Amino acid sequence: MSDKFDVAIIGGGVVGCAISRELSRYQLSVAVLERAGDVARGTSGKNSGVVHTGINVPTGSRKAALNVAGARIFEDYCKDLDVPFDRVGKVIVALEEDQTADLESLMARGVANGVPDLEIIDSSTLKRMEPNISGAAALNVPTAAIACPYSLNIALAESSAEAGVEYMLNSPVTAISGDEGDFQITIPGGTVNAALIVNSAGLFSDKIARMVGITRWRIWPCRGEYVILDKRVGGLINSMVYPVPPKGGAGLGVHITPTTDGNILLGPSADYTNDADDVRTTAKIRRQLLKEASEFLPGLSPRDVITAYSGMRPKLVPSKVGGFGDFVIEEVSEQPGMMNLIGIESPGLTASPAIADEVSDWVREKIPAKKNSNFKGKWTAVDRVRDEPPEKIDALISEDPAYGEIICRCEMVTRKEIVDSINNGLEATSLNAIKYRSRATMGRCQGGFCGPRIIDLLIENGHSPESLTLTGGDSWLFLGSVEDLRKGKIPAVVEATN
Amino acid sequence: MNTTLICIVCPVSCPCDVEWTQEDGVIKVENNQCKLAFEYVEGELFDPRRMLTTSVPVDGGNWPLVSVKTHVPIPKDQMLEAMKAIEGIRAEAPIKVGDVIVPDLLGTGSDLVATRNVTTV
Amino acid sequence: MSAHEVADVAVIGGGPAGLAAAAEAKAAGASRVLLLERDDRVGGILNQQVHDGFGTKVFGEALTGPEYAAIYEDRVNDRDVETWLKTHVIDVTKDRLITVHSDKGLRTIEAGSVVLSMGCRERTRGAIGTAGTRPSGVFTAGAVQNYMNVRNLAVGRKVVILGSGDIGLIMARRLKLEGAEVVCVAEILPQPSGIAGNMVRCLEDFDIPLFLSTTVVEIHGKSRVTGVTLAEVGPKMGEKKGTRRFVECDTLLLSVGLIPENELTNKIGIITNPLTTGAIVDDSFRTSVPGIFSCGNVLQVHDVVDYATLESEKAGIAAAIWATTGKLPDADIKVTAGEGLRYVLPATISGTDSVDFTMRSWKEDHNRAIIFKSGGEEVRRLRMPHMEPAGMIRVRLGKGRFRRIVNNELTVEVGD
Repeated sequence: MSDKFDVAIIGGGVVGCAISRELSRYQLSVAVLERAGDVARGTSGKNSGVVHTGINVPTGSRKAALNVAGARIFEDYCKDLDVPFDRVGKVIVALEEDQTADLESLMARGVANGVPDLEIIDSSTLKRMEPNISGAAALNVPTAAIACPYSLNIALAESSAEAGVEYMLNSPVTAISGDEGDFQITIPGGTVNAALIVNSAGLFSDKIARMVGITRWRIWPCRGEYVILDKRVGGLINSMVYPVPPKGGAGLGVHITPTTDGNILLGPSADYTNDADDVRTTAKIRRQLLKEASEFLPGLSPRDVITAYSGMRPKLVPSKVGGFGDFVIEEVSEQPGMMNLIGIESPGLTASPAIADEVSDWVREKIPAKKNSNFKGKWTAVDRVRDEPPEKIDALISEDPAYGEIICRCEMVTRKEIVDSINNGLEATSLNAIKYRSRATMGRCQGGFCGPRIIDLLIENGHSPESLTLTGGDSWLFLGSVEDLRKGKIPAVVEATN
Repeated sequence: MNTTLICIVCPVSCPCDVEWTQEDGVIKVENNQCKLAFEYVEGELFDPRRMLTTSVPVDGGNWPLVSVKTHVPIPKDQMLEAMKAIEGIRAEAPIKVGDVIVPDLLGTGSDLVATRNVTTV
Repeated sequence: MSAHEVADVAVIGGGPAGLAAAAEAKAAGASRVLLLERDDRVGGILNQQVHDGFGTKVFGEALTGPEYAAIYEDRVNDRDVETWLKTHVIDVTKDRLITVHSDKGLRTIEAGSVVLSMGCRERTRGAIGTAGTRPSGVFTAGAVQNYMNVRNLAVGRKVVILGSGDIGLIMARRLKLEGAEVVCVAEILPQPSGIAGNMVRCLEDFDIPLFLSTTVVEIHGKSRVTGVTLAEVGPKMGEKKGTRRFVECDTLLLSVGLIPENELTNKIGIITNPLTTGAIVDDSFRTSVPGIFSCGNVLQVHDVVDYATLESEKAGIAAAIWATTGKLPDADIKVTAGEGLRYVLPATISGTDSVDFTMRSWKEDHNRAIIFKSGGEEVRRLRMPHMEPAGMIRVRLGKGRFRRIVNNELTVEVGD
């Protein structure tokens, strides 16, 4: 790795990858350094996937400006990248009459932030829109939308990799030296040289800043647990259903969000933690999420839950202080040549295209560059059988018989789609990398049937069983062959320290 | 003596009430659904044996492993020893159900035989 | 659609149930029988069950899974059943129009009768809601059985097993024999979930501890499992305070139940029993939709494959008769699960031929009886020295007893 890059982006979340795509429009050499075995493994992969309108953020803040700017272009952005997007709308529901004043102040802020078509609806209108939801009144936000957050993140990364950006996975940055024009960034097994650095390390952005002596920020990780409901009950809601935001809370309250794949998410909770990697789920919050969601949707059952997971918010304000923390997007005097993106939590997904524009301007002011002819405005993922009408499926199969073999039956994913995911441009080959690209193993059986078949396909495509992981790093799936086990040759598992 | 023994010949798991003495052996078995229980109970009291089922790696086959069993049960306390004995054994395709993979395993008189057909690739 | 086919009987799923149904449907006179299997071989789960104990009821000897499967595979081949492998059924209509997806494109099959024999899947971590981190090393027991017995892959060397279901017990022995350390089996219920025989030959034989009324409350490890926290539970499944303890392991195996794969059944609109989640059927294994039959584990989870086979053979014969004659005896006698029974199958009977009833009790019990009653009078009584929810009860009601049935109703219950 003796090459020198114009720009090193630290962090392969949606913001880092949006920046990489934006920079890939130009003749710039760009590297993305990601600590995990794939992109979208932190905050960006595990959230509600909501394209926010800008109703929840204080007027005049950077959050508000970037949110509204991002929301304006988000639909086209997803279209260009072949990412699922659905303008399902949102209702913010007042359970009791006394919360209607809160709806009015939310609406006033939305209007001030330039959010169109807001209206307060009464309980019977709400009932008409959402027959299964009960409430006294609601704020209707028809322009709110959902997108698939990890699909967007992956599409941004893979499209920019195709256009020439170098993605280095499993590359946690441990030290940074040098200065603008000549930074040396240490990763396991080598050094990456770059003229400029973009610190989009999310939950670890404060630590990256500290590596160059910037100590003014601290990230307070705040865990949010979700449960996913079976598609069987996906029809219970038509739009996103939010409560009136809890006062001084860390989030927007437990909401009920449809996903672009037809499931429903309940969550997230909000619990501050010292460990940004502490993405465990707890029995208590699982129960609580179901209970709180049941206030809006009576009749939800624990049997409707497929699984639970946790995401982590990179908060700039600690729990004790509470309240609002704005996005930080700054090059500061302690270290010129490094753009710091700190505290990019919700609505970071929505704001990501706008943030990328801003960072791209900053880079090109320092390093003017011509257009890159390898950049593709439109990027398409492999055709998904489950989204296609029968005639198209027939055509796909006759074109490539691998489309004729369904490997994941819960999500209708074919061999073709899985092999395409295995051979992704980022060389991310964990089971989860395949899951997030193809949806295989995401369904109700959670890989019980297709897991072994995906393993076969990984092996057929040149990966040894011993190299296979769940999420990259040391998350090994197999510790050897049965013969090794028999002969006592299986190594003990050692917990990774990084 | 009276003992209750769970017959493990099949998944029905009959809880057999057994009347027996050291001298006369098994006198009476009750609560069993089929006659296989009698033989099992007798064996379990005087010479407990188990079928050993496992698999052996195959070279050049359409399966990486061939499943195997002892063609008759072996003494229960020799199970782990038998596994040790076959630790390095590999088989070569093609294999037919019933093919002997290891004759007279540990001198028990039981052959380790294939329980799956494996064809050559 | 690229092609349209016509068949007398189409059987969906080529596991033990589907194999038996297809073979018997052919033998009973159906001229074209299609066996539709999504995997690249038939036999289903039997292919990975290398242990013995299969076939004692049907063949009078204890065969291994692959041997048992091979017998039925030969049978369907000998009888010229058409087997379509790597063929995925994506839709079935009430009029028995089946749509399949394979490398030959989408095809439709117009079937005289359809037999649903899709089997079941394992309950997962997500479904039981085990808390903790999400490392590698958490597997369902059946998946590990597949990796170890079919694919020659070892998942770990120090294993905790949650759930004492049969596959979990079988895997405890398997792992132990292969050189892994099986730390313990934890079971949330106060009694084992697997059959008694497996407690003996899988756990007791190898001194593997079983902790009852105990569950995994947290999974630890960021990359790979480093251990689990066990805790005891009270009678209402609540965690008992002060009973938490950490157990080191690199693998957690889940054997926490099977879920019949009734997605297709529900999509067709077939009426199901909430307690089995499978179709409500009569003594010909007919569902509420004419011409559609259900058998094997998709109908009810069996613990003995032989019984799934016997049940499916009947379903296959009935499907053939329906397809060729359009006639099956009406099943007007309503069967109800009474005191002490979770469910009883079939739900209605015709009274034309002897019926093998299958049922499960709510709880473990000793020295009771299964009693058939009609009009308040006893029709048949079978003494049960021992019964437990883990063991399916199978009782035959001979044709001769049917004359005692009055008002077309029959109740089956546990009594003294």
